[in-house]
Amino acid sequence: MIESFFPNVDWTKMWEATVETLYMTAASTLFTFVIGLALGVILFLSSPHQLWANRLVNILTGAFVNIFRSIPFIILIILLIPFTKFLLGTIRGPDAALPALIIGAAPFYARMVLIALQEIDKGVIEAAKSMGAKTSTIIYKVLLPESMPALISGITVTAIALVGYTAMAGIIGAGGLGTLAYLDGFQRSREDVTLMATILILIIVFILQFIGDFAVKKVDKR
Amino acid sequence: MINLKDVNKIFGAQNNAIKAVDDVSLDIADGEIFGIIGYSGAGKSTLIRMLNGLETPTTGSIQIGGLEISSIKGRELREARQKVSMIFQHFNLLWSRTVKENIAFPLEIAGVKKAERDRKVTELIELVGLAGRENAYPSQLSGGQKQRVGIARALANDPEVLLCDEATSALDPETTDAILELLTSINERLGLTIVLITHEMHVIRKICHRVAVMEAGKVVELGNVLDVFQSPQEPITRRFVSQLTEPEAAKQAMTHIKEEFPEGTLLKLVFVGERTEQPVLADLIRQFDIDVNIVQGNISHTHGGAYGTLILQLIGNDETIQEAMNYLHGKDVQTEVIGND
Repeated sequence: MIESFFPNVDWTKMWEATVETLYMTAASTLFTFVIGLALGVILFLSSPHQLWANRLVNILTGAFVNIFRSIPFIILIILLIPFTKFLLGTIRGPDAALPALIIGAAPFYARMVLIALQEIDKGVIEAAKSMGAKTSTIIYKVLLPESMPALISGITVTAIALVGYTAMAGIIGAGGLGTLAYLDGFQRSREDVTLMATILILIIVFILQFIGDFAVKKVDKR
Repeated sequence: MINLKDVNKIFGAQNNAIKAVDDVSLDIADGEIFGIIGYSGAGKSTLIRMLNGLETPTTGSIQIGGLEISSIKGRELREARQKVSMIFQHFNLLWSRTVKENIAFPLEIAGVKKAERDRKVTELIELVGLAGRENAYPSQLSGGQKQRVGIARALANDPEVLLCDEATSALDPETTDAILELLTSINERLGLTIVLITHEMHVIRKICHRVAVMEAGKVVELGNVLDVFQSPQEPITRRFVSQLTEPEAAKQAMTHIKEEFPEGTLLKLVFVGERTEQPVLADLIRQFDIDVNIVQGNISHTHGGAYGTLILQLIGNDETIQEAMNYLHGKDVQTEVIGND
């Protein structure tokens, strides 16, 4: 039945490509979450009147975030080819796409972390200070839990953007559904392959959005 | 317990510097409930925040229990803050934690073990009257219940001083009274010193032993609550006292009576303590040939005793009225003629 609609689809290849896309998205989302969170927290704490108010750190972190957020992803991939080669010894395969994916997405997420932290009621931070909390306690027990819904919806948006980025990473031979749709679908004029790859990407995006929304609902007690 | 000496706080740089606290010296006794009243911008908020080091004075010194709060930093300051806790106008609870977890938070900060934390939290929930609500989130509580959580949280590490930053200003009058009663009972049972700031004279009257009135960064008047009520010295203090003793309706009634009996003398009587319980008025009418109109009267109960005001219109000849006033003075009742101004 399905074979008659998609005569040219090689299901083994399609499945392999799906797994590659899922792997790239999951790995890059994980690293983006950790690095973006750290950058966002530094940006927040170093801004004026905050716990680590420091002009220099704030300006440098802010500049790093803004520069890498502004470079179009497709250009960033090309610019990072030497870096990737140095880091992994190759520029082919799903792993080779990760540096570009993470460096492209982490600053984007850092901005969202900053916004999430700025939304926290200042009184709550002051209350923690008045109880004699250390800065590390304030970070782990106040800042992160109190901004958790925004942090989760931010990483959901970022993960979905990363699915799109993995498709673009196909140009450096990263593999995944993007590469398959371009090489097997577009270049060989097999529209059904492109369509199937698109459908699978859509399903991945919908699932990510569903998980994100569910998690936000779960943690939001406001 | 708390000693402030020549405390100044200046915000901003030279050209647009604002003197938020201007040369304040205060001594607050152990176990006292000390109120600081002032309108917004009077510097009371800055002053109370200096007591736990959330702000540091520009000059001057602040000592709490012999410890120089204004000059310690880091670990020492964090440990001192566990003994000088604070409750807030907007409660500042963590929405992500339940009632129990919110109260446990300061204990976690102090490094108290889990079993001991649980025991203490149960005890505190009982103390503030929140039994049954342990597992509720702040969003499921009323304003009064949230402040009870705030109080329990503030008491968790057995502080010596409790700072109340407009703690009842966001609550309705009934809830305000319930919270004030809780604070009084905590003061009596645990013997801890309470410093509160407010713009409501009602709060001062209800629970404070002494009051400082602040205006433009300065303490302009300081004394026992009853004394300040009885004979406010500064115009701003009179304004605060009149919040309670001269409601708007009474002012209108007075204007009305002044119009109706332009020849009469309007007299404000102030009774303090036992005088409020004696039939001074009946004696007055019996002994002097004058007509008496009661314009308005009320009795407030302060921490130090009762305090009453009565506004009368006396009609009769000037000599008799003068004699009547002398009689009242003899009975230790203060009088004040309200002019037709």
